Amino acid sequence: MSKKSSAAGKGRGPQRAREEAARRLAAKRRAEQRQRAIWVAAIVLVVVIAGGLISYIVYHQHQPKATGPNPTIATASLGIPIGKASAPVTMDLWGDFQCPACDQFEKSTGATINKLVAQGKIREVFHPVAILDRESDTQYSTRSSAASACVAEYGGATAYEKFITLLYDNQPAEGAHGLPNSQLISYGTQAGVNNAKFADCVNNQTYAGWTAKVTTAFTKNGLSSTPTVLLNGSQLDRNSYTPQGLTAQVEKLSAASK
Amino acid sequence: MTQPWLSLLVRLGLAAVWLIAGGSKVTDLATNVRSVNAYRLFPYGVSQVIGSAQPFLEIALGVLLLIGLGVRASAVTSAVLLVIFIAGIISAGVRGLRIDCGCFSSGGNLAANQNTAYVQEVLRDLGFLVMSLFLVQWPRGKATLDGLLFPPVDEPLAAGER
Repeated sequence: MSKKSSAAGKGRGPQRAREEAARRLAAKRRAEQRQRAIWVAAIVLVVVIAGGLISYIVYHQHQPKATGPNPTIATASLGIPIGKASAPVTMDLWGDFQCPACDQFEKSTGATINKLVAQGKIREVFHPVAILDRESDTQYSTRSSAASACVAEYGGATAYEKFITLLYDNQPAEGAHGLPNSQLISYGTQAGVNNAKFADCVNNQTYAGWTAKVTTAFTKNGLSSTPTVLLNGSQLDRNSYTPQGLTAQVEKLSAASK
Repeated sequence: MTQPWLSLLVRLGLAAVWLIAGGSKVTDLATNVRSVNAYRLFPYGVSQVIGSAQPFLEIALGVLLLIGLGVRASAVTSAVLLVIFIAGIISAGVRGLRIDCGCFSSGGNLAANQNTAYVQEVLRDLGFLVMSLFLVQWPRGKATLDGLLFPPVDEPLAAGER
């Protein structure tokens, strides 16, 4: 760098040199910042991608295992059928025994459902899902669903229908402990189960794998809240979740099928 | 100049939105998967990946905004996500689905006595979108890590300038 200074610009040379140096320093700082920015961006990206991956793995690990036996009378659609197979209308009812909205539905419309079944107008297929395990510290949703499968296995559809009502009539509060297995066994017996293997079935959670299958089917069907009612495969309008509404829709569908 | 303070406020507000959104879902990933699938936009496997990763990603975005690291990039990401969410809600409404958008809750299908709140949810998300766009335009504000790591580099004046 030359420091020539003419007589005309006596102080300019060194000033220009300072400005040059300052400009080079600025360029250097900008280059350093660019480097730093690339590092920061790379680290953030790695952390975010790793975190997302870990979340997926954690979710996957927590998925309950869907292995094990299915109750003998269970349908291919993963539910327990109640009523005549010849009934003109099939009603799928997806419910969780821990769900308060399901309890309300049972109280308002349960008797009507049982009546329609008895009259041969519908075949009820109950799908006991387990989506509210977080509402108890004993996995009540899963336990009650698996216990109900034991009732289906050792007591049949008649006992199952009674068991549903008993469990909703005595539904435990959310955020508590759920009903203990001994209580579930007692209700099963009350519902009409009379088999020595029943108690072990409940205590061993023999059908917990089936419950997992039911819950996965629920999710895969795009459903996410309970209760959900389908008549002949189509979701019932939410305004018809009443005795009158349900009966009317059932009549309409039976008339159409004749 | 009030802009640095405004940027701080908007940044912290948006950070809170993401932290609360992610925080409300991170404890029950299975339910979040269920609510993503309730939109019926993706095959189940894709819903599982999106649903399980989403809460963590929302929290990460919130943390980045909170500490002010990569504010502009986070603001752009926020805006893109919000546009996707708004499109999803509108799509659900148009197709007649009855779901809770699941923005600040586990979401899922609505119970019998609940009404859909799509309009409110879209309006709310539009508000957040405006906040994000503000930050895209004015990312520099008070108390950001960006300000510490990447301070403005002063260009020396050219000869003759004041």
